[in-house]
Amino acid sequence: MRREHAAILLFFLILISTLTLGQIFVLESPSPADHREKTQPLIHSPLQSLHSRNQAEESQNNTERNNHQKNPSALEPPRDFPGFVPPRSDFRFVPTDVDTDCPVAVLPEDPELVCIKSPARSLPILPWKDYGYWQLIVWYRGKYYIPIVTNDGDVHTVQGVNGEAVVDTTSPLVFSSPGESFSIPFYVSGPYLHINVSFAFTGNIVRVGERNGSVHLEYRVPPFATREEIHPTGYYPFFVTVDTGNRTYALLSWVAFLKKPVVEITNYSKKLAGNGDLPVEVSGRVYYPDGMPVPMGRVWVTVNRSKGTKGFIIGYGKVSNGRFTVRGVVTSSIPPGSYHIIAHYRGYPAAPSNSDPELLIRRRPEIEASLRNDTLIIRVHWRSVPLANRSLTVTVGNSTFTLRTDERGFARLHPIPAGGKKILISYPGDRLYLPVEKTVVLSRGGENGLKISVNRTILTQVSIGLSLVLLLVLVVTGRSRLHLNPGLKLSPPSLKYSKTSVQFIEPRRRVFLPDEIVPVVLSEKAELTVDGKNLGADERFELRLPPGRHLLRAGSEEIELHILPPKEAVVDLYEQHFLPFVRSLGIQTRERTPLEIAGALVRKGIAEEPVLTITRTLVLAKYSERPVGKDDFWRMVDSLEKLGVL
Amino acid sequence: MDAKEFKDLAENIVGAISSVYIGNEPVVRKTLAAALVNGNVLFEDYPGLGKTLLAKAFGRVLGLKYTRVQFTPDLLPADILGTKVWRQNLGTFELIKGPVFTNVLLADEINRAPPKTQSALLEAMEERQVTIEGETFSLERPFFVMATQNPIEFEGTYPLPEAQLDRFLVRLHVGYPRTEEDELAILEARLSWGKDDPTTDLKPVIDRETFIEMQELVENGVYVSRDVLRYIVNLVRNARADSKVEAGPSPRGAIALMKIAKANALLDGRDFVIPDDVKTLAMDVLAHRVVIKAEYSFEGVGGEDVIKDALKKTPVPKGAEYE
Repeated sequence: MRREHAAILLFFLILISTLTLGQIFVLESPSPADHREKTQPLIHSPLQSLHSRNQAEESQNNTERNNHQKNPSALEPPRDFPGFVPPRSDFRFVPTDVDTDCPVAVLPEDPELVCIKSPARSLPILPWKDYGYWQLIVWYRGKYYIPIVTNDGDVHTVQGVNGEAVVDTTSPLVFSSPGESFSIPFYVSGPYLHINVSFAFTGNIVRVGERNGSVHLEYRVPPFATREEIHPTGYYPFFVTVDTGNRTYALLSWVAFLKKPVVEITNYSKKLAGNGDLPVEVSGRVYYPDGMPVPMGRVWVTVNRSKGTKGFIIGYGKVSNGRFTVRGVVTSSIPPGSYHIIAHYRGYPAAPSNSDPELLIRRRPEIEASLRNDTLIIRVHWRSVPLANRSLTVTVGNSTFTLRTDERGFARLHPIPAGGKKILISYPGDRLYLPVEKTVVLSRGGENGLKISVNRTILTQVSIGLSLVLLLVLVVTGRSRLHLNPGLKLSPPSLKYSKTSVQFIEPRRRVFLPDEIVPVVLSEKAELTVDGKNLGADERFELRLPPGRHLLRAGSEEIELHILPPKEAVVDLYEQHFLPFVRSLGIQTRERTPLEIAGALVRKGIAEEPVLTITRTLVLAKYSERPVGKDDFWRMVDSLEKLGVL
Repeated sequence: MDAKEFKDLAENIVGAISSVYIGNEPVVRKTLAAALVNGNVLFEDYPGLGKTLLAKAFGRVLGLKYTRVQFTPDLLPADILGTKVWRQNLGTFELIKGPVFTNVLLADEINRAPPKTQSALLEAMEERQVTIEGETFSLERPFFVMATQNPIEFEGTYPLPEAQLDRFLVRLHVGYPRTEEDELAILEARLSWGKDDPTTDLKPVIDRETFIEMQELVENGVYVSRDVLRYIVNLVRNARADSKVEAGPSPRGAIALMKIAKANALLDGRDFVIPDDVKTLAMDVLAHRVVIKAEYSFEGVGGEDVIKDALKKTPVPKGAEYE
C-alpha cells in the first residue's frame, strides 16, 4: 500500500509540475497588463522586479512617508537618500544645480526631449546597502548626477560623481511605432561578465561586431512584440546593466513609441534660381492615421537627390495643431539639380512626407576669361564644378564663334580675330544652369595688366601703367574684382551707404590659399573695407589678398579671412570650420585627439568618408613633416562641403 | 627599412605571439613597442593571466637570447649578475656570467626577491651594463627586462622601490579575457596545443640584426612635431601638479613616453607621432611613476586616477596656433 500511495503522490507531483510550467510559457493573455508580466521574465529584469516590488511596497511607503517626520531613522533607504524610488517610465529629470545649464530630459509631459544632443545617459551604479536596489545616475557633460525620485514625483539632485561610461550608446533616443520592429544599439568598452536588459518590450540581444575595442550590440525587438494593445504609446526607458565583476554599470536610453504620423507638404517652392543662399518656404500638415492633427513637435525639411539618400537640411519649423511652416534656406553650397523635398516629423526616419514634391534648383555659373599669347582661354564653372561639354558663343566684332567646353570646363579661341576691342562670351543656360554673359575689353599696349582686373568705378581711381595688352574684364553680373596690391592707391568713394543691416553672404569660408580669388557677396549694396582700405560700394566683390590675416568690414559686420599656404590653411580650416561644427553636435573637442573626434562623429551617424578625409588631411598637416599641397586643401574643402559645414 | 616594412615585420611578430597569447593584442603591441626602445616592462596582474607566457613568447619570437630568473627570497645579486671564481690551475679569477648577460631577461615574480637583489638589476636596466667586483661589463644590444609581479600578495614580498619602478618604461596590466569568445578561444587553443607551454613550439620570426635595425628606425626615423612634444610636457606637468601627488612623473617619464610613442607610430605604419600615440600609452608609462600622498592613498587613489585626470585636463593640440 505504501508503494501505491507513493506512486499516486508522484503522479500528482508530475501533473502539477507540468501544469505549472505550462502556465509560465503561455504567451496568450486576457489583458495587456497580464501579458507584459508573463513575457517580461524572458529577460532578466532587475528594473521590472523593482517595479513589482515598488507597487507592492507603495502602500507601505505611503505609510512610511507618513511616519517619516516622526521617525526618519526607521525609513529604508537611509536618511541621506530619502524617498528613493527606482526609475519608472514616468520619472522626470529637471535642471540640476551642479554644473549644468540645461534640463536633461522632461518626460513625458513635454513630448520632446530637451537637449537631445546631450541627453540623459548613465552612470556607474553604486551599490547601496542592499544590492537589489539601484541608484540611477544621469550622465551629462562628463559628470554624473544622481536624481532621487521621491514618491510624490519631486526630483532632488544630491551629488555628482565623476566616472567613465563603460556602456554607452550612439542612439539615446530611438523612435518606433506600433507594429514596427526596432533595434536599440549600444556598446560596451572593456571586459564584462553579464549584460542585463530591463525593458518593457520582449526582444533579444545580438552582438553586431567589435570596433575600437568596444563590443557593439543591439537589442532587437520583433514587430509582433510592438502591438499597441500590448504596449500603449509613450516613452519607454531602456535600461542596460553591465556587470564587470568589480562594479555594475548601466545605461539609460529611451524609446519613443508613438503612433506614426503622416506628414504632408501642401505648399512649397517649385523652382529656385540664383547663387548664394536662396530662401524657401515649405508648409504642410502632420496628422495621425485616424486624421487627428498632431498637436506639437518639430519638423525639418530636407532636399534629397533621391529617396533613401541623405539630403541637405534646409530648415526647421514647429508643428502647431497639425500645421507647420518652415522658412528655410537652400544654402549656396547646395549644387543645382532636381531634388525631392521631404519633411520629417521629429526623428521618424520612416515618416517623410507622403506628398514628395520636387524642387528644381538652378544656379548661375561663372565665366572666367584670360589671355595667353593670342589665345582667349575661357573657363565656365559653378563653385569650381566645371560645366563640361557645354556650348558657348563668343562674339568678336561682327564675327560669332561657337565653342564647346572640355571635361574641365575650358574652351579656347585661337587666334583672337583682329579688329574687335570687345569680346562677348555667352552661355545660353540649360535646365540646371542660368544663362550668363561676360564682356571682355581688349586694350593693347601694356606689360602685365592681365593680373589686375577691377570694376570700372574703382579703375578710375587706380593708377595702372598700361602694358602691351590690357585685358579689362567687365562682369555683366555686376561683380567687382580687385587684387590687393601694395602698389595700388585707393581713395574712398564719395557715396555713403547704410551700415546697419548689411551682412556677409559670401564667403562662408574663412581660409583661402594665396592665389585664390575671394568672392565677397553682401546682403545689400554697401561699402566694403579690407584692412581699413575702402573698396567702394557694391553687392559683390572679388578679392585677391596677400598672405596673412585680413579684416573685412561692411556696415557693422566684420569677418576675418586668413590667406595661408596649403599646410597652414588645412590646419586653420580644421580649427575655423570643422571644430565648431563638431562642438555644435555636443562633442567636446578640447581633450580629444582628431582621431577620437572622428570616432565620436561616426558613432553619431555623421558620414564617415568626409570625416575621415578631413581627419587624415589634418593629421598629415599638423603632425607630419610631409608636404601638404593644394589638392589636400581642396579635398578638405570638398569634405567640409559634403558635411554641410561650408 | 621603411615604415611599411617595419609595420609588416611588426605584424608578423604580433601575429606569432598572439597565436599563443590569445585575445589581448593591445598588450602584445605595447610590449613590442617597449622592446623596440629597449624599454623594461613590468607586467602586473593577478595570477594565471599569462604574464610569464607573454614574456617567454617575446623572448622566442624576437630571435634574441633570453634567460629566465625565478625571483625568490633567497636570491642573491651574484645569482643574477654572476661572479668571479678562482681557477687554481690558471692562477686567475674567471668571470662566471650570470643570467643578466642576455638580450631579454625574464624576471619572474620580481617582488619576491629582497631589495638588495632587486637593486642589482638597476644598473643593468638603466645603463645596460653591470659591475662585478669593481669591473664594469657592457651588456649586448639589445637588452631589456621583462618582469612580472602579482599585486595581491603581500606576504613574503618586497614591493619595488620607486627608483626601480621609474626604470620600467611601462607597467602593463594584462587583464582578464575581454569576452566570452576570447576565453573560449583560449580553451580551444589549449586543446590544440596538447601541452601547457606552447612557447616551446614558437620559432623566431626575425633575427637579432633585424630587430636592432627596427630599433634604429624608431630612434632615427620618426618625426615628433613640437606640438606633440608640448602635449607630452603638458600632460606630465599636469600630472605633477595634481594636489593628490607626492611625487609626479620625472622627466625620464616624459622621455619614456616620447620614445614609446615613436615606436607606436611605426607599429601603425606612420613615420610621425600623433597625440593618439601619446594618449594610448600615457597610462602605462606614467601611472607607476606617480607617488600618491598618504592620505589619498588610503582612500584608494592610485597613479591611474591621476593620469586619467591629467589626460582630461590636457588639451590636445590640433588647431592653427600660428600666432
